[in-house]
Amino acid sequence: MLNQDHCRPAKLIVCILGRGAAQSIVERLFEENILLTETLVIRNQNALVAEEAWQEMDMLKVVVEPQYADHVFELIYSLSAIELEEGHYMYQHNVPWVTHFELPKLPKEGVSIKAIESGKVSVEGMTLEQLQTLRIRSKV
Amino acid sequence: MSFQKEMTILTEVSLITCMVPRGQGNVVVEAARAAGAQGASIHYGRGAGVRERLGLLSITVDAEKEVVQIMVSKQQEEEIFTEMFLAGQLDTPGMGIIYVTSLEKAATYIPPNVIEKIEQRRSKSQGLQDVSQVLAE
Repeated sequence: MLNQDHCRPAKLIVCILGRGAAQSIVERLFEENILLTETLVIRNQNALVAEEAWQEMDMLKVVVEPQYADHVFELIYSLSAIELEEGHYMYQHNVPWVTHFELPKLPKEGVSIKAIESGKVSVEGMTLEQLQTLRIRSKV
Repeated sequence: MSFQKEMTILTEVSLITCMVPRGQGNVVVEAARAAGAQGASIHYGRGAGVRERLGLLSITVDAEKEVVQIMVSKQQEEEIFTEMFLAGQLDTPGMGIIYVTSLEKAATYIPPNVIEKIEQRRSKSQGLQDVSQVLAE
């Protein structure tokens, strides 16, 4: 069963900005307390420009803990120059629950596939079965 | 060094998200714009879920979807939602789904003439202006 240790409230910030501009913002966000980022390519139409002017643009989605949301919103606003470009926009809304995400504590040198297969390996906080699941997923 | 940048934040705004079969997105967007929407964003997706329960009939339901997102003011929300629903024929089984998300805040490019209008209203001491209302006008 999931409980509050696994789930917590968060905020989703979405920013629609120029094609290719999301990557540099994502790199800046690594320093912030964000939970995840996702970038999509979308097409965008804006009433303020020509009627049929569809543009290819980036959609940057960021999930962040509530206490950092306003800061991250302002940072993205500033980095993306939302207020200067027609068709660019961003918004923020509540996410009732988000699960906790952490990377496995794998050693820097990695874990050999042979060691996983033979079962002669241990990683802090992970069972052998979980390790093998990770490996199977990495092959897909 | 720190700097203070002035932000124009929109409140009382909603996001309408509509999923329709691929190729139908433009129809829905045109209806939304005719009802007053300022713009739209579309990306592609693949439908799953109900389709898997249709068995052999599933070949008749197109899995390729277009996801249309439109940010609107609360005042326009109902009208634009209705027009999108009708244009997308979402009362037909298998055509798609539409929903509204309440947004906490938003920001966008605001034309200088709109900002001017807001400033004029402010100077007439009408209190905090609803930017989305001015945009809707």
